Amino acid sequence: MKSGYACFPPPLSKGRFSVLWGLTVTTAMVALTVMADDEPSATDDPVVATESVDTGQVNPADDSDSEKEAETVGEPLAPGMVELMQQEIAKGLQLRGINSNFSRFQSYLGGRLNATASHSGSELTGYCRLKWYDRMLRSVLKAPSEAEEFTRNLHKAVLNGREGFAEVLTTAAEKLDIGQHQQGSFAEVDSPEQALEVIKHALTAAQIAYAASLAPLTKSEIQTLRTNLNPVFTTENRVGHTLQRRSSGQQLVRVMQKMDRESLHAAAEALAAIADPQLLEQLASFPGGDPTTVEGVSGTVIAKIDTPSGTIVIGGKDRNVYRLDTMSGVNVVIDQGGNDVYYDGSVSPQRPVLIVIDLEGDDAYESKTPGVQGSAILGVSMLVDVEGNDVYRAQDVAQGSCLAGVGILIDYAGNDAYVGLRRVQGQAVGGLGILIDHAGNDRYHAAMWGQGFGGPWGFGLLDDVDGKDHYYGGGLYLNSYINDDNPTPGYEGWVQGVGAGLRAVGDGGVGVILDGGGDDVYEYDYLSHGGGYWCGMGFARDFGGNDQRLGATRVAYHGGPRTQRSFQRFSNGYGCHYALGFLFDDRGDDTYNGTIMSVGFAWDCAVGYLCDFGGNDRYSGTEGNGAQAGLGVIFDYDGDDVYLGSGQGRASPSISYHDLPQCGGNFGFVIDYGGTDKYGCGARNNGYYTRSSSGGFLIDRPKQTDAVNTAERPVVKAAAGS
Amino acid sequence: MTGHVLGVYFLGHKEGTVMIRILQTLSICLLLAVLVSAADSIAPSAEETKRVEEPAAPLKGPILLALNPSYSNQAPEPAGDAEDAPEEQTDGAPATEPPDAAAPQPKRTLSPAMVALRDRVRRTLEAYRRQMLSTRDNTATELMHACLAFGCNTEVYQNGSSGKKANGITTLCWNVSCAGYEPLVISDGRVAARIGYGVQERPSQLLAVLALARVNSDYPMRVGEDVRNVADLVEHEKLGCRSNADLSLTLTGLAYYVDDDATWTNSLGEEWSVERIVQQELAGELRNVVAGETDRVMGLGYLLSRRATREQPIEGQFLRAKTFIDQYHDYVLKHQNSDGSWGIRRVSGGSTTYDSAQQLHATGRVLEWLAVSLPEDRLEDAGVVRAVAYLDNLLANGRYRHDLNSYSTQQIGSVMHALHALAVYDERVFEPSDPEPAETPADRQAARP
Repeated sequence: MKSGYACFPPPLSKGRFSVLWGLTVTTAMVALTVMADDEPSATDDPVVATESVDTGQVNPADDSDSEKEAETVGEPLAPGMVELMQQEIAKGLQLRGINSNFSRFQSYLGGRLNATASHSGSELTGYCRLKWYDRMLRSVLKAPSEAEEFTRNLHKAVLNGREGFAEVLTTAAEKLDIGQHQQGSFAEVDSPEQALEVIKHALTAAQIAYAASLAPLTKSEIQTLRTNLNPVFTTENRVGHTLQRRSSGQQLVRVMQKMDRESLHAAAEALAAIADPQLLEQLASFPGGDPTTVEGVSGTVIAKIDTPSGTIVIGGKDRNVYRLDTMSGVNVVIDQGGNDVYYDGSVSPQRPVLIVIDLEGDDAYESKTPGVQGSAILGVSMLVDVEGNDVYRAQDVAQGSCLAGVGILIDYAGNDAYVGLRRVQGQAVGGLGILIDHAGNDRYHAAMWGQGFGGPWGFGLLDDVDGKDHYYGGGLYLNSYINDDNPTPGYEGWVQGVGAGLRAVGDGGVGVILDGGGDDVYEYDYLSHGGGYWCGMGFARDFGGNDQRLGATRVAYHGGPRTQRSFQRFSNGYGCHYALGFLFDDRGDDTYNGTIMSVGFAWDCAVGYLCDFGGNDRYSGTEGNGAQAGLGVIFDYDGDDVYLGSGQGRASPSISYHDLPQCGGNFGFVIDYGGTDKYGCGARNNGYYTRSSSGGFLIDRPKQTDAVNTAERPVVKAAAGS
Repeated sequence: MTGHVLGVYFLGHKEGTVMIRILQTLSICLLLAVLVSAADSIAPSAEETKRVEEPAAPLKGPILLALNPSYSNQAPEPAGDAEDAPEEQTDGAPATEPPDAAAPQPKRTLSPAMVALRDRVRRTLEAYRRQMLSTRDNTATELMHACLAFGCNTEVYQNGSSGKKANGITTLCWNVSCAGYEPLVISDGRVAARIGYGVQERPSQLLAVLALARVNSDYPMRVGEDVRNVADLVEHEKLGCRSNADLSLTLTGLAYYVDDDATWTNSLGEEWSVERIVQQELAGELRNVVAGETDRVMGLGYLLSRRATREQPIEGQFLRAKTFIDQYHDYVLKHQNSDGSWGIRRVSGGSTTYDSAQQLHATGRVLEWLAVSLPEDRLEDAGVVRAVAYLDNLLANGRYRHDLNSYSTQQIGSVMHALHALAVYDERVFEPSDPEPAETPADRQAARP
């Protein structure tokens, strides 16, 4: 058989970026030969053609600002790589003459968005729809660039102290349609008294903003939220795609929609000043006065300060035990040291704002109550732990999580363990749920809806800045497909950068998981890791290290053997039902695992992207497939990669959910640059393949250094100047 | 004490007519002095911290006493007894004084159209005054809104609509739990209004309400067994002044309770004065005034009105404020909708639509500010009168006429600010045309059921 490649590499640029990246061509004319006889599947349509296409402005570093920005986190050339991927897709569509199909696909998505934008009684309720989501789904080719920029800037902000944290909040506000927010200025804190003054001010501002957020609601609506939020959205449920009581869920999201969400967000912004290491340092030396006693506290209390906004309690440097829910009227706890124990810590009608700051020691946070450990159900809560190896153990709505509120947990140092059940670890419905861990080798353990999960009106973020971390999500609740006509085994997951709506209730929000470095392990079950479901958007990004993404958890939630056969469905850059999912990995030798409908996969008017910017990687799953009017993409730059299975880049020619040709069809891409790669489907390196239908692409190209090695290839020379 | 009450009385009247009214109502003042002297003997002082009985309803001034004679410091019980129900005293008519043969003639005459508007406004005010909030269902914030509208005449139900009635301001100052939230706390040794959901939802909100209701600074406030007074709250608010903080409501409160030239030290050791607050407020961002965001201009406008009443000089920061407020008066009147409302109106398909709740909020707030801060000679400008009529119509015919206490805090706030606007307008424009009250002790006694 004749190998099918042409114009590899593109003409060498003498520009400043050519040494960095062989594909920093600007207006190179690239001739592509599509060799159908290389295709491994009999169902693949043979296409033999030599076409010349202008790749256009591919240079990713033309924008010096973006180059400068990109220096700080992850792969500096990631923006350009994503742009390259987008252009490769666009040119592929052009090459095959299916631009019109893709245009129909794109306009069909827009039409579906229009048709479901307001409540019409269908399962797509239109409630809680976010403008950003709407815009991204209407522009699925440009969406990855925005997703890359969003995740990169978000992580950079997390690294940038209190101003950065304020920027995180500003970004979240924008994504949640809360409006353009200007970051306030922060006063420098040079003394413990000033630090306390900042805390008082933050508490007051948060109280005022929270009150304003409820002002549009009647008392009965507030009571409805208080009574029903947690049972309806959490405890009654054992599957993730909808609620046990859907009509109640609809009623609740309608009430949440009435809340003054801008004011709720202002409550979060009021707390940004507390995320200031300098302030925290000053608090450690607060002198206090004569020891006093406070109900619910054992150990030394050096100060109890009553303010109009609530009472502030300061614990001493020895061990304290705080039973937070018995400390009535106490809105702020500051502990200066010792290995402390904190029980519970929920917000309530009488204490809607709670701030806990622990400055030192190996601490234990224990609770079985929902809405604890920097989490809130109809309230505002922030937990900051500065030092020590801490253990956070809870059940539902915990560890930077919220239901109609704000939940923030920031842990600055130590090897920490976070254990929860449902709606935990950077999870949000109707507000903000943020968990930031700045350092240490940490362990995250959840069963469902967690680790950077955004439900209706929610922005959920988990960012672990450094360390070798282990994320586990799933292993407890049987998956919802188990009773289908074609059942598949396994557990529910809905973790690790998932934005998901609830069917017949409301559209999804924004879920983000970011990891800054270290060799990390991600275990997950169904519908997890960089995915969107039901009009939501999910983002997962790991900026460094050799990471393992293990589709299907290895053990059950409680640690014993799984009762379900190892099987994982939807993961690693997936979109399912009018949704978008993005997975980026900047560096390292990584593995990506799912069983079916995974690894750059899209299903039903959806989009899934998986982009790996470097390293020798290994993929196992469906791999770059689109189905039921979907666009699924894997893009891998550099490295010797292995693609297991045989489904790479397929796009099924048939669709049963939507009408053809109106919906445009399916689109699947596997695009690999550089390295010596192995494809389970039998494709060769430096090839360009049609997969299943004209919408299916497997494109393997060399990068510049590879191209130099293969420059003697006649076809390359011949095409270079054409 | 007597002197203070006299002062309150004077300040309760329109500027420029003080001396005439002194002469006309001297007998009432003397009567008040007697009553207040009696009240002194029962009113708790700061030293009497063990005393926990509820105080009498606060004294606003003779006008309110005339409107509802049941509110005098003679009353040994809270003004909430069922038998004190104002509707039983007034037969549903707007609160007016029975004409007294000895009363002087009105100083001015209203046009028939203004008389009609006056009657409508008073009917509306009375109708809403009867829609009492309750301490079981309504938060302290909502009570503060109600007290803004009806001042010392505010009545609330204790424990639901079947419960006894109590005076609204007494309820707040006596730290009665409202919807489960107690509004007061002792902080840094002084009485303070709690901040947060269910209580004071803006800093200094209670202080501003007490000021606008013209509650005496020695009116008692209780937290548990600890009885203080409004002056203690004022001191707390002075200590809490901060740079870059929103002090608009603080300014409203301190404009009433603090001598404008006074200086004080806040809890950080910084020197503050009303003038410094004015300077800070002038430096702050001002936005959406025509949409109802009027707190900042309200504070400044009220202060200037107070200074004018006190015949204090307008110079320095005060002059800057006056120039600013004058300009803003023109600005908002220029941006008034043709029907008299303020707020965003959307033109779509040739027709104009608007959100009545938003319109009520915006128009109520803007008119409230204008009614408080406009000079007398502008109060009957066509635009202002149009706004009064618009607002009255919205309130009289809108959805809030029934079951007000079940609405949201925001809606209750909008209604109450709108009612406050009408009440201030009534006081400044219509009341001077009313026959002067000439009460006798017998009249007042007779007014009691």
